[in-house]
Amino acid sequence: MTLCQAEVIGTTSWQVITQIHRPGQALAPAGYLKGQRSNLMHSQVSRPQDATLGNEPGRTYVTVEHVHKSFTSNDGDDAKLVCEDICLEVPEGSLTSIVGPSGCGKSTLLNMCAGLLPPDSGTIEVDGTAISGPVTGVGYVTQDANLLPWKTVQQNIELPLTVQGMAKRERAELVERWLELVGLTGFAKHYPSQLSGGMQKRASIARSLIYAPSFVLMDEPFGPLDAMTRIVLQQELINLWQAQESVVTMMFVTHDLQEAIALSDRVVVMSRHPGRIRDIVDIDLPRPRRVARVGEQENYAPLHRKLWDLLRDDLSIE
Amino acid sequence: MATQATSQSAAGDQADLVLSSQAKRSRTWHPDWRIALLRLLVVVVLLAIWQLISGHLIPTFAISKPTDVVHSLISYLKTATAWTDIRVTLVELVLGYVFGVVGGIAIGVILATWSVGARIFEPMITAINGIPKVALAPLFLIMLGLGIWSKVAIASMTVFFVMFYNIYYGVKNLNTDLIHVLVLMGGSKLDVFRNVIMPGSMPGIIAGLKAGVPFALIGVIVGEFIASDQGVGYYINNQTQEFNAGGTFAGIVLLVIIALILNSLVGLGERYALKWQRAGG
Repeated sequence: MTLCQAEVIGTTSWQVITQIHRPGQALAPAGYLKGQRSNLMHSQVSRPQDATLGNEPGRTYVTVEHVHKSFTSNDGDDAKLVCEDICLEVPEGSLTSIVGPSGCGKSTLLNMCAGLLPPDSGTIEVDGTAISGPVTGVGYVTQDANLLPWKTVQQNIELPLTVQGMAKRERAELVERWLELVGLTGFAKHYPSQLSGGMQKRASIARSLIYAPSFVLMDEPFGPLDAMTRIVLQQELINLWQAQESVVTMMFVTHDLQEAIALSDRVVVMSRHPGRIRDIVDIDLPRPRRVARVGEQENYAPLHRKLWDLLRDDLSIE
Repeated sequence: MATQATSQSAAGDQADLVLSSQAKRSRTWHPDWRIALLRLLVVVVLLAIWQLISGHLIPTFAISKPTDVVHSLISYLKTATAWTDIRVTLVELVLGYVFGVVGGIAIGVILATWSVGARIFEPMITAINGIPKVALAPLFLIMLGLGIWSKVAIASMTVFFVMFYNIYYGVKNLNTDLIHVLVLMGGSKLDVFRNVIMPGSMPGIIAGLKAGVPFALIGVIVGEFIASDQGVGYYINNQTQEFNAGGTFAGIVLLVIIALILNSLVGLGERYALKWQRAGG
């Protein structure tokens, strides 16, 4: 999280915690919560993602209406407008990325959608309910892996399940499966400090997806990784996303246009501060996508040019 | 294709781990037992020097000599009062330490997570900390008498401040992102406390525990110097007033032994609680 956001939230997060939004049934993710048995291993259900993509009008999962957000500096004088009049609709089951130059408020917008920050004005609705605090049961992947350093990889990945009260044996099954999915088999008993950055990031992604949340937010999750690992993990991510039985809506902040085009259904382009939405570009590349080869697709170049043109003015380059 | 690439990069990561641990092993070219032997040698040489200087370069009554110290120690330990003294000092130490630790952790965690409370109380705590404990000792004597409780009070105070600051800053500096991670995955306040705050404050707690042992000892001994009729500090004070340097050193030796025992106990606790910190490249 940026320094600005730390100032706003304050040094203690009990303030965040006491505003926990305990939503009605609407926000409880499908899948493993409330003691339902894991069905990842046994189901033959068709993948909902295949149905909702393309031209099918899915229902809107996240609605952002006329949201403004400012940060004030410590002496309270300068209110810097970070997000201005953001209006956005995210269809259920889609993968939306948010791109823009540094400091345009992308992360702030994402954090507001997660309920970690309140907007100054306007409303945000997630799954039909206006949010007033951290949205629980959401998958949230940050730039830093943010694994708990005092727990092993296994304990970290199963943490959401432990917190929800799942039995030990069931947890072990799921963790085993996810370790395999993200390529960390055999590292279950390691501590995060013994893993490389890429491995930690993979563990972090496994942790965010293991309890099948319906809503996943990612803030430049592949930022600190090297280019090769990045491509590998991007591919893994969309594979995992498509393999989920329940519908997963994903929002993704990134600097990388190639990543945005390769992964998402729509790209939201924001302008430099104050952050406004310049445009929303639909990515009509077919799924399933091959991340490493996306540049070879016919539509790739025009899409890239379109996005670049939108951003160019803010970047003052020719 | 993706999984092949994944397992290859995982193998590469594993290779990195092996290389770094090999590098570590080659750095330690003096095994532990040899270092211990050298340490023992240094101590023996210093004792020998002490024995030789005494009476020749510096008068014996001032610094005594190792043989006299041993002699005083043995004859002291043969008396019944010695064991009462030791017991009293230990009780004061343990009680003072425990009260100080518990108070320090409790107040430290509370103020680190309650920002309004912190702004009210932390400056007050710092102000009180500024008062030399030695100056407060006579006050405790008046309030609590000659018995163990005045010493316990002084020791608890000194330990409290050490623990409080270690935990307060340890918890405040915890990465708030970790707390958000827990909250967003559906964790309650208790979950956050158990999974983030408690383990995250362990390094601070351990640091405070280690620093607290000598402080507790100082508190107890100072208290016994100023007002007591029992205890190892009381014994040391008596011996000093009788110009019996051997006895004084004997008492100090006892204190060193007590301190070593307490420190090793804390060290055991550290080894268990912080094994995640030691695991790591």
